[in-house]
Amino acid sequence: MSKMEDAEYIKKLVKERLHAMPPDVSFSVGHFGDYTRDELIQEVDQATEVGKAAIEMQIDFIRKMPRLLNPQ
Amino acid sequence: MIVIRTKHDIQTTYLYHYSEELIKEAKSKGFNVVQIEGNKISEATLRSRIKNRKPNFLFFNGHGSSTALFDNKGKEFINTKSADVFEDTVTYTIACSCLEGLGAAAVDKGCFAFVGYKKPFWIARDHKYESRPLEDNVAKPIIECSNVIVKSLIKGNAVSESIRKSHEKAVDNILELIYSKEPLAPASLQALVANDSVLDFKGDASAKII
Repeated sequence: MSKMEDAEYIKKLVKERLHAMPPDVSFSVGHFGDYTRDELIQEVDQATEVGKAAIEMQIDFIRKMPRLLNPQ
Repeated sequence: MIVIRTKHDIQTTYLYHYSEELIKEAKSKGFNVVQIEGNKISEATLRSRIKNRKPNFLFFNGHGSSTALFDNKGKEFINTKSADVFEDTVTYTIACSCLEGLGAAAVDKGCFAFVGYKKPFWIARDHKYESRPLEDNVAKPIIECSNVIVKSLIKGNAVSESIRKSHEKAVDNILELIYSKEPLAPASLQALVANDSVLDFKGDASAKII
């Protein structure tokens, strides 16, 4: 898989994960502002600064998940 | 101690409300709490209060960047050039990304320890509670963990111990959220994990405010 395909795959994964949340959730991301679920998905899609922050948060979360389930 | 709180959008309003209990707790422990809020937030006001009160603890709630803190109008009021304002204090900022640039500059200019976040500070929240932040159970487990730092410092714990306590509280909340059946729990969980993993400090790990 090329780097571009990787990036597209990650973007799709993050969008799907955000989409799995109920629509009545919002995220406040510091001075970037406040985003509904769907607005954040759009930011990810457009690869804006906040979209990139959302991708980083999600990927970091996925990496940490095994350790979170077994914190010892 | 000096508490600087902005309140001009949803995120800062949430932080504002959740910091009320910290102010009450500090006062009950005998701290002389000076509050700088709203349009009074400026470098000049902060310097003047510091000169008069000589606080050993500064606590900021609001927006930030890697090099600056923002006032109630969203304008920079402290940056790396004015980071000497943190001299001889322990400082905690609940703000995005301040630690690496501003925190490092503060410590270079004599701040005992600067506690903050290396990346954006996330708050997940439920639309329904926008006007009642303290009832928002999506935001609560996230802000609870960041507030632990203040609660611990005012009890006399060192910076490193306070950060450890915040991480411990985060682990408790993370486990609770992982197994929660609440539909919005995954949002809280992801924001909490993001914040907890970028909480850190610069300076002296053993610094205390009392």
